[in-house]
Amino acid sequence: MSKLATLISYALILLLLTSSGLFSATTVLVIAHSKVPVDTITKVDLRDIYLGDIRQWKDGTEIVVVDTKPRNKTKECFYSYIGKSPSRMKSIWIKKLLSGEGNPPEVVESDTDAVHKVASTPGAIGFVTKGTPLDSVRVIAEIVDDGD
Amino acid sequence: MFRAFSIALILTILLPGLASAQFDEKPVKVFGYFQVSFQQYDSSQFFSNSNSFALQQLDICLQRDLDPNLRAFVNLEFINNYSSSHHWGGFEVSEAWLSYRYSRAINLKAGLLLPRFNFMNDIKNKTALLPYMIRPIAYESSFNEIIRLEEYVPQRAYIELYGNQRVGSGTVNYSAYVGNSPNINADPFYGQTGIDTTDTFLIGGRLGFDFELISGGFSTTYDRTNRVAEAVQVFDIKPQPLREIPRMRLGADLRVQAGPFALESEWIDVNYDEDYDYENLEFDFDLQFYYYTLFIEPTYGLKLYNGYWYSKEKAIDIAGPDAQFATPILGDFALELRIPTAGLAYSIRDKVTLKAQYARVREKVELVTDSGTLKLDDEFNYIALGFSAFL
Repeated sequence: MSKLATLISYALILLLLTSSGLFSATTVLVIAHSKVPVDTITKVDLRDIYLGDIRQWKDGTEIVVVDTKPRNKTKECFYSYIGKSPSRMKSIWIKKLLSGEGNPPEVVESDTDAVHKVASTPGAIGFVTKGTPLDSVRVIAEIVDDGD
Repeated sequence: MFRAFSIALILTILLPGLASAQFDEKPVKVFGYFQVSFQQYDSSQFFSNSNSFALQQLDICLQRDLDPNLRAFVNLEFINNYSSSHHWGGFEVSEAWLSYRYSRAINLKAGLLLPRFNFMNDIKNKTALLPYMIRPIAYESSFNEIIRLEEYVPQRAYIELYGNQRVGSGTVNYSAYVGNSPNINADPFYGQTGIDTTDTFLIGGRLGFDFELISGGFSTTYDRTNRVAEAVQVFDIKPQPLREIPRMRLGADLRVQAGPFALESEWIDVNYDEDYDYENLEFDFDLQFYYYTLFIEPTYGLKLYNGYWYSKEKAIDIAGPDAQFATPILGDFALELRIPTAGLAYSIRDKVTLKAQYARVREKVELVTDSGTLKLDDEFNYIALGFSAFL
């Protein structure tokens, strides 16, 4: 009887973990305005752009960084990929803003808004969950987080 | 010579950029933040219970991008319920500078600016950014009456060269600046106030690194101070000794992130060249300060922390005249502060953060003179609640 209870407990825990999405894979697409002069982007360049250290594309166009407001797995996955937690990035942006050394990303409410913002803003870059309808943007990187 | 070199450097870097600017100016951006607090001190040997609400700090920033690489920035700061009619608090032009970005590795700032020293010096007044109600003591302006904050960290500079460069998966950053020595005239009788009365400079800088989960750096400044001469001038010693004593600050800072945990720590050591201009006085000036804070962020927007702050100041000071010392007398002075603290910061919206903090302040003072020793120990609790908000 006790073995059955233990088995049921393990099964319930497994069910909770899988339904919570802990082991589910997340794929994030890094998107950019259709006229940016790159086809792909490296992780280090991506981090430098989001930290405000790189501010222009190679053709001199000013980079407009777009972030999404909701804290979700996509955002976690993206910032984890570039090596900073969302809250750490927020601190860095506030510091740059209050020190007069940079402007924080433009924040949008959803993935769909991010696509529209990037598509309509020359030089813009953002990230969305794979599966979000893409319109007139260029995908320059794909980040897969297998939940490990 | 140095002054001329600095001016030539500015002109060399700045003027080509200014000349090529297309003057595609953006409108002035106005933003800021403030922090409101309720603070309570319990009774101690020197103070009775007290509690007070206060507009602890209000900062208004003005920023204008004159072109993509040229920016003007002003930060106006009001502290402690500032009111000129009531003579409360203080108002200060905290920053007013022009910056030019030549590349990510070469940036130049000219004007009144906050020098980078360790992790916190240039952001110490950005209360909206910090989780604390009361900052680590070398940065806490409300402790200015207990310890001499200006001795621990540089307060202002006027020209700064800074930038960063990618190295492997991280970056190395640097800052080099020059400013006034601390010998600023505050008495109109001696001429223009607010200016350095000597021909010495403050020079300093920081060399740092930032990798994914670890960042830190080393900082230093060098200047010459008249502080000791001012302390002993009451004794009419001639010739006036101990003027423009070399002073060197050394600092190190480290920040490590591990999942929801983060450790932030700083160390500062201030050395005065006691052998310089030695006359008839023996003295031993030294300052030490360190702090560490362990953060945990169990959920986005909520930070809990536990820290320990320590400072030790050795100096010479004057005792009396009072009941114990009939005439003023010089003595070896030592002040030690130990402050364990804990608190939390919770962002209820992107622009509003609630804060609470508790600290136990332990103060130990000793003054040793030829006529006797004065020892004081004090301990009190400090509790603060408040919030900071962006404008």
